[in-house]
Amino acid sequence: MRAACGRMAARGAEAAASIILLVTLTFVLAHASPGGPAYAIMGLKVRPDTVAAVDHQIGADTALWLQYLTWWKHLLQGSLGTSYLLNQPVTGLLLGYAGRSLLLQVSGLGLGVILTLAGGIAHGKFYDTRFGRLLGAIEIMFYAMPGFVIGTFLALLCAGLLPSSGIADLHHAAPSLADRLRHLLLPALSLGLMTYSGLARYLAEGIAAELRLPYTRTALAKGLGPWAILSRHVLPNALRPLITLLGLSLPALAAGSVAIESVFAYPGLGWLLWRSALSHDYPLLIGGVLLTGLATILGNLAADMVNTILDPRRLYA
Amino acid sequence: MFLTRFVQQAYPQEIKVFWFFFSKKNILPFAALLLAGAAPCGTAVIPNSIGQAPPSPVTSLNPLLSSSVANNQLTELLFRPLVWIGQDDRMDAARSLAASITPLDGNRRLRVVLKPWRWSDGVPVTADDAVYTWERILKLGDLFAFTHLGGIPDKVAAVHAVDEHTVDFVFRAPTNPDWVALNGLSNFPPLPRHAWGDLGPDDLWPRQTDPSLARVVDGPFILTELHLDQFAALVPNPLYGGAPAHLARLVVEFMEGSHPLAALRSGELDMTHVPLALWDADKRLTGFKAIMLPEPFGYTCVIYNFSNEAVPFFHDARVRRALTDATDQKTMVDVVYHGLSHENRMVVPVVPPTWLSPAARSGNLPVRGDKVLARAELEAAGWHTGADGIREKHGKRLAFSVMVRADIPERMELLQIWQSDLRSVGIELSIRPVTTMQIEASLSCGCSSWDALVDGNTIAGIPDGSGHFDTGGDFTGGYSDARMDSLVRASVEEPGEQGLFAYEDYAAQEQPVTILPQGGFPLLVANRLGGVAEFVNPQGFWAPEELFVTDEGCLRPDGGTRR
Amino acid sequence: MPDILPAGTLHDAAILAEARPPAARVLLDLWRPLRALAALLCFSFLGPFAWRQDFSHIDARAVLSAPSWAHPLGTDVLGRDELARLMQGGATTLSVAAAAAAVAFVLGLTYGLCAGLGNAWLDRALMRLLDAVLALPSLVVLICFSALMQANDTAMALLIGLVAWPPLARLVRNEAAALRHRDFILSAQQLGAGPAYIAIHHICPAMGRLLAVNATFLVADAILSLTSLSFLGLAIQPPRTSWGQLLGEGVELLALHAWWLVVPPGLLITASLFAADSAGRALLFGRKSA
Repeated sequence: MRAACGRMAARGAEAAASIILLVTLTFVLAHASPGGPAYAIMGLKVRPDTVAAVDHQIGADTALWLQYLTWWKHLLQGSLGTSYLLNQPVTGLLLGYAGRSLLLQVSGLGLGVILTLAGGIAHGKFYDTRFGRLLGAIEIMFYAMPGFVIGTFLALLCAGLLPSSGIADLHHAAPSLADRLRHLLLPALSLGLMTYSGLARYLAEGIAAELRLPYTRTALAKGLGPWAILSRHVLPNALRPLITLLGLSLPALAAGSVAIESVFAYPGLGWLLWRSALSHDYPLLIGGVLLTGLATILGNLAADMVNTILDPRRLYA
Repeated sequence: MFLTRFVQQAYPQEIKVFWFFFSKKNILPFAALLLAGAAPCGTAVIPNSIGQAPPSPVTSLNPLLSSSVANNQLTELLFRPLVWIGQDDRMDAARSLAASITPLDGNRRLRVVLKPWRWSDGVPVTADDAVYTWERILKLGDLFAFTHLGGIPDKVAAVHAVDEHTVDFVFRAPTNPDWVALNGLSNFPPLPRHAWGDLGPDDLWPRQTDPSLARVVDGPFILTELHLDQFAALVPNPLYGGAPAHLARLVVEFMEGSHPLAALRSGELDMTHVPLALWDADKRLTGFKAIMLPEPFGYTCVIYNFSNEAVPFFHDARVRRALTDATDQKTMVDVVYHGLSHENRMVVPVVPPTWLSPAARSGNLPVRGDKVLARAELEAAGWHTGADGIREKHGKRLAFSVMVRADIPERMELLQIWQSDLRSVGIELSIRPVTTMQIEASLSCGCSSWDALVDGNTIAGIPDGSGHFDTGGDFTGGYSDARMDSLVRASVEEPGEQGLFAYEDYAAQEQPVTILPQGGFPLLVANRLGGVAEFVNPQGFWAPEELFVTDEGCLRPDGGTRR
Repeated sequence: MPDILPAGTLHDAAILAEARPPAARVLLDLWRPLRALAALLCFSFLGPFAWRQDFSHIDARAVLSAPSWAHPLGTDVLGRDELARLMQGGATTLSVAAAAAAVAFVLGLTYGLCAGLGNAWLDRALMRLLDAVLALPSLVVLICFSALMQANDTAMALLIGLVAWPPLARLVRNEAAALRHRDFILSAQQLGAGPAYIAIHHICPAMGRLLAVNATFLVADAILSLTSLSFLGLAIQPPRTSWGQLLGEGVELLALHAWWLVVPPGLLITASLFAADSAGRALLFGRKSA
């Protein structure tokens, strides 16, 4: 236990070091690249006098090291600053976008789990038949496709049937839940397919291996139906490694959603980072980088913890 | 229902202002509108900055603090400027807040009489509101986004109210009243002193996206919702003093990087830009019509770097004239713009032809697009053809590179045609595609890293050259000529058009930049939406009160004649 | 699990040691992915000699035309031939991805060897730094930095390579640290060989299979990162293009039923990723799929 705590503390220190490194790198590169926030705020045809006035107003004309230290001071006071472009507190903006991203990822994960269970069980049950091999080929196909290719092909297939852009139909003053769900369907389905392709194979292999074991034949001989065998005996054993894998795939889910957000014009955190970088909105960019960095590191930590807890050597030692 | 509320609470940055419909003093005028039969009807969703640029986000509701077209199109709907420029680049009498503009005292004073309009809370718009705007401009200093345009605030000595509806602008020296009216007063909206109070830059700047400052307006629309990076929703202002809007709800969508064509097809957007090559896209899709908007009032030009010693030949006006004469603009218009543009060799746009000098109107210009003339000019300047076909003088080749934005394919095509044109008169051109930031950084650095670059410029108002072609002007690569300076000064100080015409003719002779044809914006519009051709004008002023929809049980306001 | 970035696709020596198939089996199963990769390389680099259409020639009369005899894969919004653009895009994508993989390989190998064969304090310091870099969310770094940088091939290859080297460095370091105490290394040191000589002539060949497997996966990850970035519009300079950018342009025009702008680039990206991935797995396990 003490060893585990010590490891956790070491991991925590490493995480803090990474965050500091990331923020510093972003800070330096953002200020080193040509252009500045004034062009995005005032438009491209802004006069040099106005650029100077704008930079002074937003506080972007002080020395670089001073801006850097001020940012850390504000962070320790609990504030992430104000967006240059939108003049809103960064924290509020980030929470809104992160909330939408989280909604997309959670629905994607949910759909992915449903697809994995359905596809994995079907594949595992019919593992050696032609139908099973077809399902296996489908899994491999989706595994090889990157997320944005899956999203693009889905948008192509469903063009005209399902909306592939935005989050709601703005003609209605208060878009209904059904409308919002319709807009969420294709992006969530893309994420779900990405999750399914990685996990279903393992589930199918696990189920097929379990079904080959003698105890299933014994259960059949005892008179249990195939569904009962599946649900009562096979699934619990096959699901255990799946949960580990699911935990490990959480950071990848966050990463995959960035490309999906771009394909479907979904206003989430990935989209926000990209836009902030392009328009030199440094507070929002660095705040977003910090948030994503923290989320990734926490996700990795959680995955490691899950892995450790569910480590069969520990469980059965 | 619970889920909707939860969703609304979860997004704290979404700011909704639903006060309008529930305010008692607005019910009566609204009912009057209904009884008059001009009931607003229908909802339209349009992308932001349509007609001028790709969609970009609304980041400021303050008309004084941003000059980006995305923000201005929205703020002009809320806070009407004194002068609204019409489709012919003159003052639009119906939509301007000024009823009349009279020069007095030998053009040292401009008397503006306001129309008896009211703010949306019932308080009348008075001359004191114009004085309040002037005070804000003085406090903002260099932060005022339109500083120096039309002489505001540098040429204005004072602004004071004569009576309740008359305000006087007093100048330091005699100034061209048309120039001030069209270039300056078109960015001068009276602001509600009673609603805003005494705010300085430190209050106004952080509150640019605060809709509480946009609650009291005098324009045709009122802002009801602003969701940052997504959309803004507007409803008609029943107390607006001009022609009322036909729509009951207008939604301006401004998500960058969205897919407008897909949204158009699924019915979520009612109009969008299409790439120029797809200007006839209505042949591929049913249920839509293609409308070609006129070119923005401005020009695309090649700017030369006068401070780069490696290309000294740009200082020679004969070489510049030759560069323009060699341009086969007819091919450019036909091939790049499918015939939907105009040839132009002047720094004054030819559409609308309001401000063209008589010489320009009759086509009697020193440059005509004639390659023979170009070769003659180059020979006279001492540039003779060398061994490889490129002209040389004192061992220096007549060759340069031009930077162009890589994301606008039309400009690349124009340059490829220009490249072969120049080669046929003995000039070598190499094309460098770069990013937008590099273009803007090169223009402002004054260094020698570039020879020439392609940029665009839009003009709102009179196309005088002040701030561009006078010494120290922006966006010209350092061009400086004494006679040009005096002509530009004359055009903004003397009344009437003679000063402007003299400047134009001299600029045609000098060719400080080489003008290339620019294209309009093809739109693809859903059949349900009408009034599109009237709603955007080349000066970038939006008039969505002209828009109407033909479904949702709404009647056509014009009896079926408008597109 | 494919995502936008390398995440756990690299394999350490323990797994390699467990799954050691006979060489003949490896070659047999390596044959198909290599054949596919060779086909893609031929298509991209040799194709333009067979299909002699200029990929940047703008033809205003054949805008967005469906596949036909004149244009087997149709034309794009400016009338440029899509087949020629795919060939040129393939050349760009594959070469930049190979360059990025090479950068990551060299950096990771050098760093790992320095850490694994160096002093104890050097090893500790380098590994601390590596852990901090490893925990960086590489996706964020890629997106933000490529939005802030100028877009050209070299910069992209460098950026992707700089993001992808840490996992390889850790593997190389672990393996080198394990190998340095082996007898053949000690005897080489006795004979007077310097650390650089030992690294190049003894350690690297001993790690041969690990390096080959991971180099292949590095190429696959580089293709994935590059196509994702250019899909978002952050990479290559016009008029040259890449598969990801072609896909991104096609997405804009899906509403006009232009499927020929979307399906071929998507299939080519998937095929190249699958081929690279399968090659790596064949080297690893000797089977087509794990």
